[in-house]
Amino acid sequence: MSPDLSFEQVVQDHQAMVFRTLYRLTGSREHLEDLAQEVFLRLYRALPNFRGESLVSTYLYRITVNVAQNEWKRRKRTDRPLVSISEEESGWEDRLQHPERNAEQQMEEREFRLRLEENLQELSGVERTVLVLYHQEERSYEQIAEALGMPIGTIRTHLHRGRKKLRERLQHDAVRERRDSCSTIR
Amino acid sequence: MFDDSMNPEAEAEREFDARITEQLERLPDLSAAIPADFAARVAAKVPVRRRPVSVRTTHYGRTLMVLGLVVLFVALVVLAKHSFTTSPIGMALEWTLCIQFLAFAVWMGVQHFRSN
Repeated sequence: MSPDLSFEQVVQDHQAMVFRTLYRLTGSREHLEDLAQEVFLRLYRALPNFRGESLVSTYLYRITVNVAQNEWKRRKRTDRPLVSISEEESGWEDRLQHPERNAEQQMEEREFRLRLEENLQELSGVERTVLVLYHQEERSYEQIAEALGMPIGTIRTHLHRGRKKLRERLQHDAVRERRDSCSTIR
Repeated sequence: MFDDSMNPEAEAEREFDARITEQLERLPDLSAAIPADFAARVAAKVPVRRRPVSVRTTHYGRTLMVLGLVVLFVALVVLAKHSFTTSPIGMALEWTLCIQFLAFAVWMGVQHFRSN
């Protein structure tokens, strides 16, 4: 097998993970392909020095997080408003996902998810990263610590703090929404 | 004894937490966002790695230098055996060869020291 073909296989095996992690970390589908490409090109450049001390996936997470961080900085510099996931989603996929639920439940679920995604983007970069790697990617504390180059205790703290902030914000949103709907009924 | 599961507030809190976890664990569907030929395109973009070319060191210069030293040494011995060195021309020749021999020896010694 030629080296390029095996690299293509590496990309094939990990592209879904890189795309979804970048999507959740940057909160947008915009430039997703370019960012994913950047991740794999960085991986390729790093491969000669890769001695197999850690898994390629752990290494890829590290690169993905770095690329996402650069994207946050770029957005800050250009002062571009973040295109939220809620603005990009058409919602039709979601409506078809749970045919057993009624329309109201599905709409409520969808709104909850969109609020969560928006609030996730409000968290600090490291909290968001830890939450995404732990919950979405199901990485262990050790793997996250290795990918981010932080002690396990710090990862636990960020995870706990991130979840707490997210819960508080969502609860706050829910209370506000309830208050708004009550005032509309009156 | 107070049972936490009977507390409706705690129950609601747990349910809310479970909803958050469920949404966080949900994988976004990006199948449409990933081009079918993405891997092939990335692989085509990476620079071609040249195979490392093995360069065999020949040491031609060093061999010549050793050869030169041997020739100079032989010439010095031959000159010393003959009474030719008593003449000014013979003396000059012997000193020239001697200086060349020393210069070669010092240069080789320095090179050897540097390579280690």
